[in-house]
Amino acid sequence: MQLKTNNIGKTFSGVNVLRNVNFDLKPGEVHALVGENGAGKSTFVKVLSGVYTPTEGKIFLDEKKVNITSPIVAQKNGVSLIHQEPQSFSHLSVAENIFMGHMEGNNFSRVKWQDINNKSNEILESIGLKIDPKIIMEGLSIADQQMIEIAGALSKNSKVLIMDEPTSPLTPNEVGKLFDIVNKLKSNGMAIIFISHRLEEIRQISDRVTIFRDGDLITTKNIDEVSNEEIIKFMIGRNIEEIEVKENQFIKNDEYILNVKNLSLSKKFKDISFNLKKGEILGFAGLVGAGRTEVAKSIFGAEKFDEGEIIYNGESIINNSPNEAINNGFAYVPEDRKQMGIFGPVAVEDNVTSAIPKDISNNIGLINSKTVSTMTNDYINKFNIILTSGRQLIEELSGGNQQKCIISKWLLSKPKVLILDEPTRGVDVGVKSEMYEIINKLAEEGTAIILISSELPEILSLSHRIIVMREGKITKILNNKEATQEKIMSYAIN
Amino acid sequence: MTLFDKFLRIRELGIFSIIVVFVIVAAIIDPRFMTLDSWRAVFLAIPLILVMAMGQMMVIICRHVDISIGSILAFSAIVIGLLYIQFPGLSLWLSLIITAFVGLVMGLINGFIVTRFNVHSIIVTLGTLSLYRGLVFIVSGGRQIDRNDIPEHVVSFSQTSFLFSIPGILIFSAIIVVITHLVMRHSVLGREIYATGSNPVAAHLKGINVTKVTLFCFGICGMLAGVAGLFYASRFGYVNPGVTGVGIEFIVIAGVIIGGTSITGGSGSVLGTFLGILLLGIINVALPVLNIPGEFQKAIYGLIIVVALALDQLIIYRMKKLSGGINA
Repeated sequence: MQLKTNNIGKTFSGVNVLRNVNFDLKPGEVHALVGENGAGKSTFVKVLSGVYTPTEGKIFLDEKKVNITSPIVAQKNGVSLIHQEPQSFSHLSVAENIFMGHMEGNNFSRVKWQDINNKSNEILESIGLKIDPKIIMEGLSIADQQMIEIAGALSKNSKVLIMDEPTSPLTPNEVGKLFDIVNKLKSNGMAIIFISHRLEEIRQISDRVTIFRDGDLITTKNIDEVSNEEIIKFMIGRNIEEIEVKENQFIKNDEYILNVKNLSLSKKFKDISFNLKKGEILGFAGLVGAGRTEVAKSIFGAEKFDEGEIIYNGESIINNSPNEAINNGFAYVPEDRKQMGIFGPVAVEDNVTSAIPKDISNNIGLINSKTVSTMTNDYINKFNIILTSGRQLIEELSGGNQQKCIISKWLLSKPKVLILDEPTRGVDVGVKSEMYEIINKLAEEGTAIILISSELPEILSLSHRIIVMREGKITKILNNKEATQEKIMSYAIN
Repeated sequence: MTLFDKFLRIRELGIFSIIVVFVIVAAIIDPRFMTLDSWRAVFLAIPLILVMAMGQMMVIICRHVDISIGSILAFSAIVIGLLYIQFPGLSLWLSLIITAFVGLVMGLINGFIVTRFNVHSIIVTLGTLSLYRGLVFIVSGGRQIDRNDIPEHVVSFSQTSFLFSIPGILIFSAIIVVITHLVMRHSVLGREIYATGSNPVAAHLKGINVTKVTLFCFGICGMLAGVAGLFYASRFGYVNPGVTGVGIEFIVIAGVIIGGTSITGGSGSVLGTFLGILLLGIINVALPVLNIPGEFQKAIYGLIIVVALALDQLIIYRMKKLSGGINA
């Protein structure tokens, strides 16, 4: 065994977040960890990689007992963690990013530029990446940054590679590239722990899968011996029924709330025309970079457009700023939660009510904290948001709960047109199905919804109609009945 | 990529072009500006600021700032001045070591409070700015060190030297600049300083001792401010507890930032900082030559900072646009 744990447990201020975990990892194996957020898989890999020290239990590497007390000790023992959000130095060169922290020599030694550039080149080539190690990191895609982090782990001769949801920020194309690399590393004998919420990916890449629930390791199975339904059952302890697209009373009418005509923005998108009914969920499918987010931003006034017309409730309008758009009844839940969606170190209540300053303040502009609490509590109950109190800082919540807060925030402004950009990214299966219920309910209440998502099953199970975009243009508008994953993909690619 | 594009990629270009334009305009308005005397004045004014700027640049690259350097300068100058009263024969080398040590200790105190108690460096050094200044008054009893207290060999340090009579402080500061460049650009520690400023969390995860790196930067910043104290005593021939080094942090930080060092950490260069300080030095000398009253100086400094920062951002934006990095 490359890695083995014996009864690992971790307690935070008296709460058991990990209990008696007995886990093993073979060389040349991709071992997937799945579980809902808070199930303990992240805590477990943090213990393995030295971010946390376990409260009890033993870790064995190569059959030898090791005490992993810090990330550095873990790395010296050949265990490297690849973070979900790449941790890179944007001001420094690619080679420096790879070798930072373990360059040869002492503090005042001269950096052997040629040496680290050459070695970086070798490593990058070995994983099939064509990047000049001398260029500055800034401006490289998240996918490239992630590969460079993997290159960094290789430069340390790591034997165990832990990848914490590496695919969630990647496009399908990039995921393919990543899997090529993972397979290459695997054939070289690397032992890989792979965390993901996407079961299709797990099925595609891994040999075994271990399921966590509520701090316990539930079971470990060979991937061929277990179905997706069984995995989900292990994860949540119940069945999730397939959701079907729900018709509602509004859809039958021919009343369009939004009519977009020939919208264009140079180099971003061209001739975008579509219409949207009240109560309709309009899916936007396509590869990342197809221009879906840009279209949404232009409609919302966060970006300009060059040509075209937006007709809203029968009148031609232009949203010059997000503020104007909100006043007109638009809402946009952005894709990048951390950067654009939340005010991290601020209370949940204040986050949730931040888009409606007028409704929570009195005549002279002072905020009524009681109103803030009641309004927030409504949504905490409605959406089953898990937190200690409304005063808890939003950054302490799990991703799924943060997303619920963001949606609550926008619903408080009572939007007529709600744009959701990748609403379930990085959210676990349980919260996801809750989120789908919320979206369906909003549509039933008459909200027109634009749903941008890279997950085809999500688009298919929610949208009444699906717009497929490719390279800034609409290639096809499909009805739900005729749409399949294959059809969407073919219009998204060719 | 055309040659022009490549040219635009040089970060220090903005500041350099401002210098060129400024010098040309000044020379056209009044040819006296191009005399040897003017430039001698520029290069005599620079070393003191330049030496402090090297340390400050390191601190800013590391995502902090040290605004107590004026008080450190004053304290080290007072200490060495008082020593000269007792021991007029104190050698220049020993003086350098003493002032460097005094500054080092004060800088390390700043760094210690910042790293140990996790207090923002602006707050910490705002406190020590006042604390160290208070120590200057206590140690000196409020008394000024006069011209005749400072030995001749110390005064001559800023006037002449064995090398073509180039003032000693100029040579010495040039050496410090070169060493700083080598450390920052080519040493392992230097790159770790950039990494720490660029992304402290990642730096920690990569095994960089962030505390050590931060302490180093504050220590060196203090040390160089201490050495600047000796430069001050040598060049101005007096040390006044209420005047010496007051407000100098503004000029130093301005120079560093004008030179293209990012206030959010992770980037900046010795060449840029040198050019930033050079520009301020040129303005300082040019104003009287151009008959601009002294009271305009601060306003003009402020204006230059704003213009330089705006220009810098503009160039970065152009660069990104050229490489397709914006919205791509």
